[in-house]
Amino acid sequence: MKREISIHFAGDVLTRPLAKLHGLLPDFALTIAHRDIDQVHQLLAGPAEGDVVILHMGMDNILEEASAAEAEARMEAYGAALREFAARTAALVIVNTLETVPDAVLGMDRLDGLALAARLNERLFAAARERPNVSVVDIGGIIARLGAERGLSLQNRLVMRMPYTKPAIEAVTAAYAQAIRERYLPRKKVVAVDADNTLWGGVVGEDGADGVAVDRQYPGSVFRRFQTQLLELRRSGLLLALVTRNNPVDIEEVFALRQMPLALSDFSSVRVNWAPKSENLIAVAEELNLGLESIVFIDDNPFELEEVRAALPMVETWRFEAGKADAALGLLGSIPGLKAWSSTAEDLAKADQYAQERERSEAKAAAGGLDAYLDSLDIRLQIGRNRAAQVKRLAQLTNKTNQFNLTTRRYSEADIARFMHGADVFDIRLTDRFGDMGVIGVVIVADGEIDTFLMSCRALGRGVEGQILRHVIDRIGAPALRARYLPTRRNSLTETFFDDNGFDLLDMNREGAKSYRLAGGPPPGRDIPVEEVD
Amino acid sequence: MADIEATLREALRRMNEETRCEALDAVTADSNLFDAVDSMAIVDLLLESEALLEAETGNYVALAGETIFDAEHSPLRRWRDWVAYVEQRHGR
Repeated sequence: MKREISIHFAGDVLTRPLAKLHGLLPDFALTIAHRDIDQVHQLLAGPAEGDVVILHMGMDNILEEASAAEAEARMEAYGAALREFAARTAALVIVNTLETVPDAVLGMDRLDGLALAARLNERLFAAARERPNVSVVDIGGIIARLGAERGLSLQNRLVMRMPYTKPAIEAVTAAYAQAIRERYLPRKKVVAVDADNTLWGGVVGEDGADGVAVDRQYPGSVFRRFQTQLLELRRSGLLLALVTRNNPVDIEEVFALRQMPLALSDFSSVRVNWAPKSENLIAVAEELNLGLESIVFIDDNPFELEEVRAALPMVETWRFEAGKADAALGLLGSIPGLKAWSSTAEDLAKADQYAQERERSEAKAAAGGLDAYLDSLDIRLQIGRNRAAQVKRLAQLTNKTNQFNLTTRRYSEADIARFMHGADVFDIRLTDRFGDMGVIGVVIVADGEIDTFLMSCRALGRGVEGQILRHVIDRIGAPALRARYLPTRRNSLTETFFDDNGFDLLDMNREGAKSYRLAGGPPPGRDIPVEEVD
Repeated sequence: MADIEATLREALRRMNEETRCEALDAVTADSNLFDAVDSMAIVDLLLESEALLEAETGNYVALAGETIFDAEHSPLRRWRDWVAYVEQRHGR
C-alpha cells in the first residue's frame, strides 16, 4: 500500500504548474492542495496542516519597489514567520532560494545585487539550520544551470504570474520531489564499485599498477575526481565496497604504489576474486549485515551490470562511462537514493563504527566465552526522551531496522515529531570501550502501548534489550502497559521478546500478531549503567 | 521550417493528457479552446507550446499576450486564430 502524503502549496506565483509530482513520487499516494496566489504569509500565520508545505517566494516579490533595506526587512519577516511556523508543525516545510539575475546598468550595482541576494538567501538558510523540518530547494541554482534566458520569462510572469519556462518548471518540480524523497524514503547505505575503468583507467592485470590512469591529466583526472566524489559520499555516511574480478595482489599494489584520493582502508568491504559480481555483492551484504536493496552497484562493464541485474534485481545498478566525463562525474549526484537532506552523527561515524566492529569481533574471539566478552566491553547506555534533535536519526532507524523490530512501523521525521508532542519517544545510545555506536534504539510509547521497540542490528548480542525495556517501564509508570508483536519476514528474532521479558500474552491472531500486557517486566539481567540525558 | 500548427497540435495533445477534455480530442479550425478548458489548462498549453516551439525553432518566444485571457478577444477562441497568433509571434 502506498504511503499517503498531503501537500499544501502556497506561493507568489501560480503553484499548480509546479505541482506535477505524482509521476516523480510513485511510492506515495499524494493529495495536493493549493492556496490562492499570494497567500504565503496567511498560510504561515494560520493553523499547521498537511504533511508537506511547499512555499514559493521569488526575488521579484521581495524586491518589488523596495530598497535593499526594505527587501532585507521583508525577507527577515518571511524568515521569522517561517521559523515560527516550522516550530509548531511536524510537517516538512520546503522553501526556495531566490534567483539572482544581475541586470543593473552599473557594474558596481550588479555586485551590490549579488551581495543582496546572498544576504536575503542567508535568512532562509538560517531558518533551515534552526528548524530540522525545513528544506531549501535551490531555485537560484536551477536558473543558473539553465540560464536565466532559458529558464525565466518576464512576459509570462507579468501576464500569467508564472515566471518560469517549461524546462525550469520541470526542474523545480523535480527538486520538490527530491526534497520530499530525502525526508520520506530511506537512503541507500552502500556504494559498491568496480576497480578497472571505474576507479582508474585501464586494466591493472594487463597495464600493471604503474600503467593504469589515475592522475591529474585526462583521462586519469576523471578517475581521480570520481574517487574524490566517492570519498565525499563516505564522509556523508555511506559505506564503500570494492567488488572486482582481479588478483588481490594487483589491487593491493595499485593502492600501495599510486597516490590516489581513496585508500584501500576506505572500503568497508573488499571482494577481489574471480567469482560473479552478484555472489560478491551477496557476500558484501552479509559482511556488513545489510539488505541487498540498500546497495548501489557501479561498474563500467554492461555485461557485469546485466549479470547483477539478472541475479539481484533488488540491487540498483549504474554504468560508469569515463569517456563521457560530464555523465561520469555527474553520476553520483544523479542517483536519487544516495541523496539526503543532512547527515546524522551516526551517518558520519558509520564507516568508523564498522571498523570498530571488526575490533570487537577480534576481542570476542580472544575473550573466551560470551559473558567474559560482554563484561570486557564496558557497555553503557544513554537514554533520552522526546528530544527534538534526535528526530532525523529516529525516523531513519524506524525506516531501516528490520530484524530487531517488534512492530516494523515506518515513520517519517514528521511522524516522530508528532509522537514527541503527544507520546513518549525514547532514544538509546550505546557506548563501549571500543567507541560510541551512536543512537541504536528507539522505543515509542503511545496511548499506554509500546508502539515501537527496535534496535539496530549493530547493537544486537550485547544483552541490553532487557535493560532498555526496564528503563522504559520505570519511566512510563503504567502498570497496565500494553505491547504488540507484529510478525514480518525478517523479525522472527523478536517473536518471544515480550514473552521472555515479563509480559502476559493476551491474544494471537492467525497471522501470528500477538498482543500483551505488562506483568512484572524483565527479569534481572546484566547490570548495565544507564544515564538519562536531556 | 518548423510546422507550427503541427507543433501546436502536439502541445495540445500533451496538455490534454492531464486535462482530459473530450472537446479537445478532435480539434478543427473553428474549435474554441478558450471555453473548453480552465485558465490553468491555458497556462499549461502556453508553457507546453513555448517549450516545443523552442525545441523546433531554437528560439524561445513567450506566447502570453494581453489578449490571451480576454474572454472576447483571446486567440484561443478559434483554433485557426491561435495558429495565426503564434505564427505572428514567431515572425511568420
